[in-house]
Order: sequence, then structure tokens, then C-alpha cells
Amino acid sequence: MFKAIVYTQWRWSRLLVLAGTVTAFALPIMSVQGLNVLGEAAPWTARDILEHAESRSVWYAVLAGVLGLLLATTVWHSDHRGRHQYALSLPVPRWQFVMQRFGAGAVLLGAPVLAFAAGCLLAAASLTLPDGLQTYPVALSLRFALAAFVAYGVFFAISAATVRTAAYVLALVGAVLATQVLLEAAHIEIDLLGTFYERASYWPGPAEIFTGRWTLIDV
Amino acid sequence: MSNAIEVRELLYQVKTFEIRDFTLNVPSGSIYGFLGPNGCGKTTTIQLLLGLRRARGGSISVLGHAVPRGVTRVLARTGYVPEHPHLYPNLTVDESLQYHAAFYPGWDRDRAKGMLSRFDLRGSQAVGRLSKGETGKLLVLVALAQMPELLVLDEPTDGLDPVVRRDVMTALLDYVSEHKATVFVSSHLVHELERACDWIGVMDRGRMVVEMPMQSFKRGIKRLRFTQPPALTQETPFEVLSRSAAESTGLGEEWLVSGWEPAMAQALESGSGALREIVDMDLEESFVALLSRSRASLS
Amino acid sequence: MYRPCGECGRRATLVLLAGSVGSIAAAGVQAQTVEEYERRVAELAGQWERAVVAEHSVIAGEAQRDTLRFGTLTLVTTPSLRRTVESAGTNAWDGIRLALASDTTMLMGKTILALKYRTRMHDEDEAATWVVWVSDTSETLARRIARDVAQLLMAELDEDTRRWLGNELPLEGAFTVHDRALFVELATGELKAAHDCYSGDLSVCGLALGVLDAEDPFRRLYQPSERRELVRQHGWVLSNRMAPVYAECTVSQSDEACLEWLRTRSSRQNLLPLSASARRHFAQTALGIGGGGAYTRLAAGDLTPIGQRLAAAAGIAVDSLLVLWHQKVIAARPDSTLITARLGLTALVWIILLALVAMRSSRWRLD
Repeated sequence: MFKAIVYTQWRWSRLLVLAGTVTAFALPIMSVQGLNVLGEAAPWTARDILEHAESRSVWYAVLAGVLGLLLATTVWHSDHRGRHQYALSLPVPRWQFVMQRFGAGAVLLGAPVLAFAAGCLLAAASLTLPDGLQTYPVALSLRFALAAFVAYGVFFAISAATVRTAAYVLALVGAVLATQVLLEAAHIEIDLLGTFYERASYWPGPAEIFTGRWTLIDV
Repeated sequence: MSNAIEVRELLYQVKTFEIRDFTLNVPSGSIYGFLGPNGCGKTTTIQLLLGLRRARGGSISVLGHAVPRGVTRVLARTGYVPEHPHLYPNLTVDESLQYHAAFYPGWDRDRAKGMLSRFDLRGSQAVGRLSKGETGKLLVLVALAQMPELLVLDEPTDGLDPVVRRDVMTALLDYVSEHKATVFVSSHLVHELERACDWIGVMDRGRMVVEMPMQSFKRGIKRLRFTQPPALTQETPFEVLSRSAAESTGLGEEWLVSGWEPAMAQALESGSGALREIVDMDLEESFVALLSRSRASLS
Repeated sequence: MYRPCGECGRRATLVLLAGSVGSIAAAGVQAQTVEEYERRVAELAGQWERAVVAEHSVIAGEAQRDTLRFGTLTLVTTPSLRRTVESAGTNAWDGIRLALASDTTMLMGKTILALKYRTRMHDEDEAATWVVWVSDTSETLARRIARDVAQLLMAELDEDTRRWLGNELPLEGAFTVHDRALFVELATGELKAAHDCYSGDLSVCGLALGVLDAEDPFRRLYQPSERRELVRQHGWVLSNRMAPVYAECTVSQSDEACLEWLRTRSSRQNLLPLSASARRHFAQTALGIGGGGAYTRLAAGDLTPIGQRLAAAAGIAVDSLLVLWHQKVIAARPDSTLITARLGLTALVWIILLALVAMRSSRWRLD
């Protein structure tokens, strides 16, 4: 049963998985292009290298988020089109079906994650860095994996919800936004959006894995 | 005889539509024709039976399991052909069969293969690109290859040309005769059910109008022409669905009755009335007469 | 067909009333003239003056002082703040005593005032050496007291040493520098000297810290381009005599001119390649190794070079001190923040939680 679900998942998202795998492999390699320190002629100092690496590192987080989002939406796309009638008419409990869909998407997400790890290792091996700097390919790959799966989980849960639930969530978001606008118009200094952002982006929020340093090269 | 499907006082409401006090009994091993005009609630009822919608009241039991609590066990033994195709359109026929087979341990691969060739379907074609007839055949194939005990078919031949319709019905009937499965088939095409079904239920505006064996239904509804209509009493054994002046002669009356039995003719002739003629009705005429009567009594 | 209006009289009255109220309100808004605003400003100014007078009377009422002693540390405060200062002083003294050991004698005869307001009245108190703002919590006050003790000890040092330390003497709880901050400075320093020091060239470390001397330190410490940039950064301190030298260095890019300019600088602290934080860290290391009496030894010997004084404070030779310092810094590589146990675990929990939320996905979608 799981194999069949993985196969259909693959059929629907193979282009995405392939493109994601290639991009995930290439990104770390491209991000360290030109960073090799080769004696006196090389202009790079440790600080320059760190700044260069850090400036490109935002794309790692972006890629992780995008991969998670796109894969999660393709998981449910065909079921949404048919209003889930087919899935609901199969002899498998809803929760089990959802779990298998989740697992199938996670399996496919593994491909770009592994490709990213391979790219990091290759990028790290290709670098000659000044003393004091070193690469963290394994740590970065682990972080990428976790971030991709968190993004996948968030959008999978949203996609699995009914239209009514999605409407409730949107209504809640709308209410928060409207309240913020009203508070600002009344010059009441309560920052709802900022609070929400902080709760999400710092421990123990789900977006914490996306914030902070993502650089392959560090001290 | 036990029932494959039992529904008691079903209540379902959504927006302006309502199914109320709905009762259904589908005997095991029967071919049950579920008749009703468009929009009367047939598809909704089927979806309620299969746990795709949630009833607000009443009870549903399919193959001995309560729905929706035991719906997974019901679906494992039920082949379902929905009104609108539900298979994933971006899979090929072969992929769809492989996917579906994964959920049914009893899947008959040889039967599926045989039906594929019998229905002249190409395995490499995308489901979304099949014609209406081919899609209809595929849905029936998928339902039958599961080897179900119960087949629930929601207007399986609607929109299909006569050749395809014949192929589909033949395949269904072959399976049923082979495996003694129960069939619950809904349609608004009365003549199609007339030949195949041995039970009939008529639904209108969310209510069950009548439910009886097909033979009783066909034999039991007659048009009686009287030169002199008899007086109706409480002991009158049949139900008068409608009365009108005799069309042809203008003398006497024409009655549409249900629950007729041949012995009643003699009783009428010996009574106060003068029975001139007993006219057989086909299923379609009977169906229309019942609906008219039902709507008249509701209003 | 005409129908008499029974309610019309009542409705008309209501309309008239609403109109009157509206007109009055509109008139009220329009009456916010300049005179009105001026009157309001004068009113607020009067309130401010009254508040200042009240503040002074409160302070005058608190002329009474309480003296608190913690070992050799003396804190003077007002009766209303005694409890807070007592608690903070106890906390601060525990750390100071551990850090200074026998050097706590250096605090004898010195007083720290812990008062709520800083006004001219208190600047007249000659016995007071430092004034500390009293904040709400005793923890923050304890930290301030530690910093002020460090400032008191700093006053015992000569100007060159103070400048070398960046006017902040490291003391436990005050002005200390983390080992890993130094690691980062050496590992990522823009200058070659920082890089060489990181790589283990201890003589460069010593020169870069200013604790060792060499014949031509600027030639040793800097690359030609770095020398040029250094001159450009500090060239605003020009004398007429050095202006041509400056121009030759920065415009004509003559390295000899740059060296000449650098050699003429009297104060070299701000020309050293490692920061004041690095120097403070070195001092912190020396004082930590030296234990009891280290601060006293540092303060003694006004004319001794800083390297020798720090060695004396540490009780070991300056070369050995450099070795120990370098080892300590290199061992302090900061942990990667890319992935920590907490971060990983939190992410995993979220993934599982989200999957569980998805599992609750409703079956009822056609209703």
C-alpha cells in the first residue's frame, strides 16, 4: 500500500523532485565558487570569506522552505481535485492514509536532502581555507534536512485540512491583521504581528530552524 | 433473508436539501434498483451509505457493519462506481489498477486483465484522457476486480452509448451470477433497471416512496377502466393512485392503482362497479404515477 | 392617500437635538486655537516646575546616609535604599572577594555612593568617589557595583596602562572578555598579524598586544597595504611637519614614508593590530594566573613596560604568559550554532506535531 502511494507521489512530483535534487546539489557548490585561498595572490581574508559565505547562505533556507512547500502541495493536489472522494472510498482509515501520504512525501524529500548533503561535502572538500575557518557540511546538511521537513510538515498539515478549517485559519489571520491596524490607528502600542513573528521564529517556534546562521564556512 | 444494507429513519440536512425519515432495506444477494428523478437525493444517499457524508440522525448498517464507525470494513468488501469518475486522472489505466489493487488483498489480477481486454482499454492511456464510455468501463472494471460482496453503482451507465451500456451491464450481471454479490444500483433510466433488478426502491425529494420486489411493483400497478366505478371503502384492497375520466370514451372512469392482484378483478366484477378493462403498465409509467401520487400527498 | 404622522413631532425634536449637539461639537473642535495651545503649554510647564521642587524636597529629606561595609568595600546609601543596596552589595562582594583575593586591600578608604538620583547636590559630596544609579533589581545593582570597583582599581594604574586596557580593567563580573570572542578575533582578523598570531607565531602575538617590543614593530606587524591604511585612518592627527610624509605615504604609496609616519606616533595603543578587548583578555589571563596580589603587582611599577608588569602580575615570564594565553584562546573555538541539540529536537518535535495535526484531517469533506 505504501509502495503504491509512494509511486503515485513520484509520478506527480517527479519533475519537482528531480529539479530540487539538482538544485540542492548545486547550491552549496555554487555558493563557494571562487573562495579558494591560494597564497598571496588571493584577495580573500577570513572575514571576506565569512561574509561571502553568509551572504549566500540565505538561499539554503529558501530552498529548504520552497522544497517543503511545493512537495507538500503536490502530495494533496490530485485528492483536492476530486474532493478526496477516491481516497475516502478506499478501505483504509483516514489517519492511516494521511500518514502514508506524509511518509511518501517525506521519502521523496529525502532525495534533494541527500543531494544537498553531497553538494556540501563536495564543496567543503574543494575548499582550502585559512587557519581558523572550517567547514560544517554535516551540520549544515542536518539543518537543511530539518528545515525542509518542518516546511513540509507545515504545508502538509495545511493542505490536509478541509476548506472550512482553512477558512477558519485565514479568518484568524485576517482578524489578527485587522486588530493590528485598529490598534495602530488608536495609537495603542501593542505589536501583535511582531509578537507572532517572535514566537514563531525563536525557540520554541517552528520557524526557529530557519533563522540564525546557515553558513557552510565558520570559525 | 438478511439485508446487505439497512437504513432506519435516516436524517441528513444540507443547505436547502433534506433527507428525512428515510428507510431502506436491500436484501443480500439481490439486485436492488434505486430509482428517483434527478436531484431527489440518490447520490447523497449512496454517499451516506459509504461513509462519504455524515448523517445527522438515524442508523446505517452495510454488510453487518455500522456506518461510519465500521466504514473501513464496509469499503473493503464493497465495489463502488460513483456518478462522477473518482480515479486520479493523471495516472495511466495500468497505474490506476496497480494503485487500486494495493488496497484490496482480494484483487483478481487475471480478472482485471481479462476485463481490460474485453473492454478494449489500453493500459498506457491516461485516465483523464479516456472517453466517457471508456471511463465508465474502467470504473466498473476496478469495482469488479476487487471481488466485492456488495456493488454500489451510482448511475453507472448514464451518458453511455447503448453498446457500452450493454457491455457494462453484461459484465456486471456475469459477476453477480458468478459470485452471488448484492448489487445496489441507482438510476433515473427506468427501463434499464426493469430487466435486471429484482427489488426496487423509489426515492423522491429526500424520501422513500415505495420499496418492494420488482415483480410486485410491475404486476401491482394497473390502469383500471370502469364504465361504472365502484364505491371506495376502507376494505378496498388496492390503493388508488389517481382517478380521471376515461380518455377514450368520456364515459366512466380510469383509475391508476397499486397493490393489484388478479383475484381482485373477480371481486370488483361481482361488486357495485362495472370493470371494463385492466391495462398493464410498464415500469416507467408506474414510476411516474407513483411520483405524482407521492408529490400530491406531500402538498 | 394622506396618512397623518403620529410620530412626526417626536422625530423632529430628535433631529433638532442631534443637529444642535453636532454644531456644538464642531464649534468645540474649531475652538482649538493657538491661545488654547499656549495655555496648555504654560499649564504643563507649571506642573513640571512643581515636580522639580518636589523632587528636591524629597532629596533634601533624604540627606541622611547609611554606610554599609562589606570587607574593604564601603557603600553609602540612603535609609530608603538600604535593603536593596545591602542585598546587591552582598552579591557583588562575594564575586569581588574571589576575584581580588588579597587585593581587596586596594579598596580601603574608597567609597561608592549608591543613590537614587544624580543631582548637583551629590557632586558636592567630596567623600564620594563614584555615584551609582540604583536600579530596581539587586542583580543589576550588583553588576554595577562590580564595574565601579573595577573603575576604582583602574584609578590606581598609570595613564599608559589605562589606555592600553581601553580604560576598562577586567574584574570578575565587570569588563571581562570571553575566550571565544578572542578566538573569533584572531581567526577572522582582517590583518595578517591577527592571522599569524592565530597560527601560533607568539612573537607576533606579543608585538600585536603591545607586551613585547621589537626594533621595527610596524614593519614586522603590518603589510605595506595595511600600513598605508593605518596611516590613512589615523592621519587626521597631522602636524605641519608630517603632512608631506602623510601625503607621500597615502598618495604616492611610499612604504618608507608610511613607516616614518608610524614611528613618530607617541602613543601606540591605537596602532596595535589587536583590539583593546584582546589586550584586556590578556590582562585578564595574567591576573587570573597571578591569583592573590596580582592587581597590586600590576598597579606597582609605574615606569615598567606593560608586558613586564603583566608578567609580574601573573608571576611568570611574559613568554610563558603568551604561551598560556594562546593555548587558552585556541582551545576556545566556539561551538557551531548551525545545529544544536535543542534546535534539532525542537524541529523534530514540530515535524511530529504537524504530522499529528494532519492526521486529524477530517473525513467529512462533501458535507
